Amino acid sequence: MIKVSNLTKTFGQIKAVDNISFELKPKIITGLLGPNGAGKTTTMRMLTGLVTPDKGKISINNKDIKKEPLEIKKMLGYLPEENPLYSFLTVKEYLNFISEIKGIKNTKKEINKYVRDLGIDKVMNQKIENLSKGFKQRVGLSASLMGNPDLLILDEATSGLDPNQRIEIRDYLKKIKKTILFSSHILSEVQQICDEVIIINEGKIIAQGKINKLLKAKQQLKVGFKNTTKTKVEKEIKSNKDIEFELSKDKGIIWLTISSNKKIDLRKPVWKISEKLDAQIYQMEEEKQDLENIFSRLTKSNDE
Amino acid sequence: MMNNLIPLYKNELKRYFYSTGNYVFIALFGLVNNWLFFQNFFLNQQASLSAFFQNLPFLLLFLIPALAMGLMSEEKNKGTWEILLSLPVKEAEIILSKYLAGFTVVIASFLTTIALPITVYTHGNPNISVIFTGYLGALILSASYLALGVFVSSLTKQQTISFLITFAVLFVNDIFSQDYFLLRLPLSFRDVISSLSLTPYYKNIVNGLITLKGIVFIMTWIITFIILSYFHLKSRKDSR
Ligand SMILES: Nc1ncnc2c1ncn2[C@@H]1O[C@H](COP(=O)(O)OP(=O)(O)O)[C@@H](O)[C@H]1O
Ligand SMILES: [Mg+2]
Repeated sequence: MIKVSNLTKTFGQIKAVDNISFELKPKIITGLLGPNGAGKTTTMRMLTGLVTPDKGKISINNKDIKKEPLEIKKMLGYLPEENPLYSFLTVKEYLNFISEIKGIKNTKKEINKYVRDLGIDKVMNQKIENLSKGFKQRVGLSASLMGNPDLLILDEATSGLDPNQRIEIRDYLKKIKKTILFSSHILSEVQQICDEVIIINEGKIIAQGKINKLLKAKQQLKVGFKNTTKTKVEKEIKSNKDIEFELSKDKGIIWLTISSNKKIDLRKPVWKISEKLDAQIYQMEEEKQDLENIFSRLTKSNDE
Repeated sequence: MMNNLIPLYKNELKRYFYSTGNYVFIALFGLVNNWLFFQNFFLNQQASLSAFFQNLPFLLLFLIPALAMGLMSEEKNKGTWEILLSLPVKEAEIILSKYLAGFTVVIASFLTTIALPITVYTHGNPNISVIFTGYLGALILSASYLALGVFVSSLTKQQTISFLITFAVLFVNDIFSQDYFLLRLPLSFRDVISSLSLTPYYKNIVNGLITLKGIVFIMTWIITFIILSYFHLKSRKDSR
């Protein structure tokens, strides 16, 4: 179990991370989404012990990072932003080095597993500095995965890759079913990879939860009915437990705004009401708000 | 205890011997020493190591800061520092692996002077113990210079600045042992000041005089800078 509470880090005047708390659900990918400078990297650096928090607590499997930093590091895999690697080594030397440091018993087997999965067998004897960006990324990912860590921390792991490479990494991450914290400043990336999301801006968490929920909560429909009354519409719509609604009346038109967290077609109940009450639909518009809108609205103050 | 020291140390050496710049420093060091020695040998028919060991504190003023300037900071600049610190390694292992790798490069540098003792042995007065104490002193002096270099390199990511600071401190250290400086001081200061310099202890060792005071001073010097580097790393003051 990964738990972060009241984490704060200040650099001079800048509050890079401001009192954030979250828990990561096991075996799923949680996105850490925020514009550049939001504090994603700093948060991850605190999780990996590179930066010491001013305040707050980090614990993984009930071990505190302050008290047992080495134990925590044994449970972590980290792929830093920009994917730094020991470029003077060959891929094989690098993975061996990581394996040795992580104290992995059956090095060969462990390395082969990721090498095969990520398709880097062809480049094992090449110097890392000569690899293409895509291969480097896979080497970095393999290194972070070695030793089967309880938590995988990936900082902008897909940025700078071309679309195909991005899809490969994305599919792989989804396949392995590990607890992953995945940061990105690109919403669509998080939308495609993550199950949960933590949206962070100026060091503060501004929204968090299931992506689906964040998406759907905002999916709403606004309908204007003619030839009926507020009470009638209210009675009908109330019978549907999955729907939240608002009613208003303007110049003889009953305005109904409905939304739902469930995956349902919001138009259906509208048609039903219209049929049942014999009320004419004057106007119907979808106010679909995806995460994009939420994200840009929430982070309006400092667009990239 | 220090399980990761060996893999870290090996990795450091690989890094070191991968960069051409480091070969240049070593080659220059070898070139200067061989040139000075053999010039004297051919012109004056003298095969003696005393000039070599006498010039060493000065030559090491250039070699060691150059070898040490990126020792702690190169990884910070390249970003691999983030990987390193996220791995289950102890701060002490990081410092020691880098220090020991640096020292290994020093030994490699001294290997370029191997022709000197061989020539002395075959042509001059073959006194093995002089050769032995001479090189012992040289390694001890290098180890001391290097400890300072490691600490300075952990303070700044800019290698030129690291070189200059290490060079300057070692330069002052050497001045403290020079007669032309000491003679300008009041008599009562001279002993105190010169006992704060590594050079007199080095000269003693080269001459076969190993004193407790010398050992204590040199050990204190080395351990102090290693521990300062350790605490600096532990504090994560400059992590970015
Ligand atoms: N070592 C540091 N020194 C000073 N400021 C820093 C340092 N690291 C990060 N910051 C600042 O903290 C804020 C958050 O940065 P960062 O965590 O890198 O954001 P993100 O990864 O979301 O882009 C930024 O304003 C950045 O300039
Ligand atoms: Mg970042």
